[in-house]
Amino acid sequence: MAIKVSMLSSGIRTLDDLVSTDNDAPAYVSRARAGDSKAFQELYRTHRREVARLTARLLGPRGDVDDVIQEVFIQVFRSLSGFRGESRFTTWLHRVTVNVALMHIRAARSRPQLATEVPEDQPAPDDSPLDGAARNERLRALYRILDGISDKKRTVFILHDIEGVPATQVAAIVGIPVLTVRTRLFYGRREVYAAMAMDPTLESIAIDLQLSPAEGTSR
Amino acid sequence: MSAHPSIDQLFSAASSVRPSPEVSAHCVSCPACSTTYHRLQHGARILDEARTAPVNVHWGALDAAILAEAESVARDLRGRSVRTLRPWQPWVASGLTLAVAAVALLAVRAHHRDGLTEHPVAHRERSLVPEAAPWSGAVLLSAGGASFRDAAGNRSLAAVTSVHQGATITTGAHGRGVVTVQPGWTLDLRAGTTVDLSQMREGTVTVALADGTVALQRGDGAAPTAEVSLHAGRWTVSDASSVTAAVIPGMVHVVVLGSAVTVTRDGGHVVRYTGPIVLDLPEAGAGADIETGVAARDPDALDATVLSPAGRLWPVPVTDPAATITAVGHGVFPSALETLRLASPLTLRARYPHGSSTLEVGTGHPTEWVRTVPVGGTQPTVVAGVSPGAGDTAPEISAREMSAHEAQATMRFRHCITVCQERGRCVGTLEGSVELNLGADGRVASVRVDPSAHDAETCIQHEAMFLAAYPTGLHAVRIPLR
Repeated sequence: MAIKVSMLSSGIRTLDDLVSTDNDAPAYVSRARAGDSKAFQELYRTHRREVARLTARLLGPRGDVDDVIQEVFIQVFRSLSGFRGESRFTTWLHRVTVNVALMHIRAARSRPQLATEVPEDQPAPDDSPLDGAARNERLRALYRILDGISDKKRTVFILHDIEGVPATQVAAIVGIPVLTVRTRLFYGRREVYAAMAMDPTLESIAIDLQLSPAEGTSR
Repeated sequence: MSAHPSIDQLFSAASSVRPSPEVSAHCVSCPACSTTYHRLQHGARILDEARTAPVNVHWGALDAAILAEAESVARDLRGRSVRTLRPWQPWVASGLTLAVAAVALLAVRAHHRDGLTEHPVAHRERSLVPEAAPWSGAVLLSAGGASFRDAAGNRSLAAVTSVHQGATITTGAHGRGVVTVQPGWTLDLRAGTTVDLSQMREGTVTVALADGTVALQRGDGAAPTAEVSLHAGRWTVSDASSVTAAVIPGMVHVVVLGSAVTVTRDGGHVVRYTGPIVLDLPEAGAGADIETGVAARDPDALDATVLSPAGRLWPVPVTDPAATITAVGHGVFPSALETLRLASPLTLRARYPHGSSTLEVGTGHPTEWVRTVPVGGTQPTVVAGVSPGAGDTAPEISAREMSAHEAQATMRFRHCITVCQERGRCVGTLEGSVELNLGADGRVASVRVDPSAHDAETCIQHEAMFLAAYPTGLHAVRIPLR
């Protein structure tokens, strides 16, 4: 599928790649349960970046990524004693991340917000301020579309189509059968594509993005 | 391709470096599909960009905060592992006890067989079930003049820290006392009340209400072994988890919460009711029947009973000076209101109008407010928590302290909810609150969780036990779930 090809070609580290780091997790988990603060630190250092990335994907350009990461690790530390090792540590960690991010999104939705209120743009270190602002504008447009579908479909869509998590792992993270993942993905994609097709602003804000030569010929 | 391509086909083509020739050919001849195709093309590019968008995190501050939390949790776990018995330890202890008992029994038998008993003694019949040792209850709150009388004489309730069976507690016209009468049971004496602690043993408690109003409430997990004796023993009300009884002329007005209650008349005739229910138990007349009031599950009727100015205005908020020490502004009701609130799906509210010392109670939409009588002529201080007067047993708690406690509880309970949701339970909308009843030491004695968070209840109960002690005699705290 085209999405997967482009993702792999971009060299993104998918959750599958984390198996190697997950191999050490049981030892750290058991040490952490016994109150070994070094093990907690190790778990955090090993997994903080993937939690950050997953959180950022789930939240979009909302900001508050720091808050959610902190909340995720607090939850993980506090409930580590309840982790029975029936799933991989990373699966469990990502499940907590998804849940905390969802709670954060729901809470943010229920907070009154001024219509003109726009999260502060934070350009990446390599970006020029203009590039960063333009990218955030595009991401905001995308997440506006994603916010229009249900949380269940949105989560599966982001995990699978943006973060590149295989359906079996999405099923384990979300706690649903693989078939349900595929169903949600099917309907979620349809809704996202339909919303994109109805959005006349996409063209103007995505004009800076390079189109491949083949795409340019189709008009 | 003559028919329009589906949106999936269009997106697939738009996101591909080599769109299918059929779709491309169709788009050339179909302006609508062409527009859709180009929008999807840009959407696909944005999706691609989203996959590689950099993640901006302020790692410095975040690392410091999370590693500090890790250290704190690790310390907590180390402390807990010291306190917690290993799973095999209770078994070993039980085994050793049994072994010692068996050896002792064999030794006694051998002793008898050998005829070594030289001095036979008079055999005294003993009950097979040994009587439980008297239980000493703790005084949680004494306010506005409450006294205590036992064999040692008459003292202020504030001057004693524990109460025993056989004692009588009396509250003055503006007094109030709260004591524990069993593990997990609290007895709340309102103004103008006299109660005899007839029996207070572990597993059995009987309080005899002579005058006034009491609320006997069972915490979660406590044994249902308390009974209230009324009209000098004519009536006893037992097996309920919460009984509020008020002596009014000619009868005792009883509100029972919980699923069932047993009412016994003259020690014989037993009637079992399914609660919650309101009962009026007549004072005299052998043939007088119990007047079953409205079922408390009928909220309108209950509200009418409680709030009707013409009817029996519920005496508790009327005479309860403790309203002044209750955090109305903080959502904590006087405990009597709390009892009623639990019985009613409607929201009962309490307020002090500005500049008034009169507590108002309201319900319904729009809220209909009913004024109670002035509360002891004292301008209530609407604070978070308890601000008792001189001589009270409860120390003060500032709004800031209360806020810190609530934040701690909220964080722990939120964790439970998250885990519950993570495990695929707690799928519904959370409503209501977690209600904490505090023990004498300020620690949580019992917890009541709103049914909407039922699946997280075990976790919440567990977490509540690790909350820091509240430095107050306030005996109920409410933590909203949302």
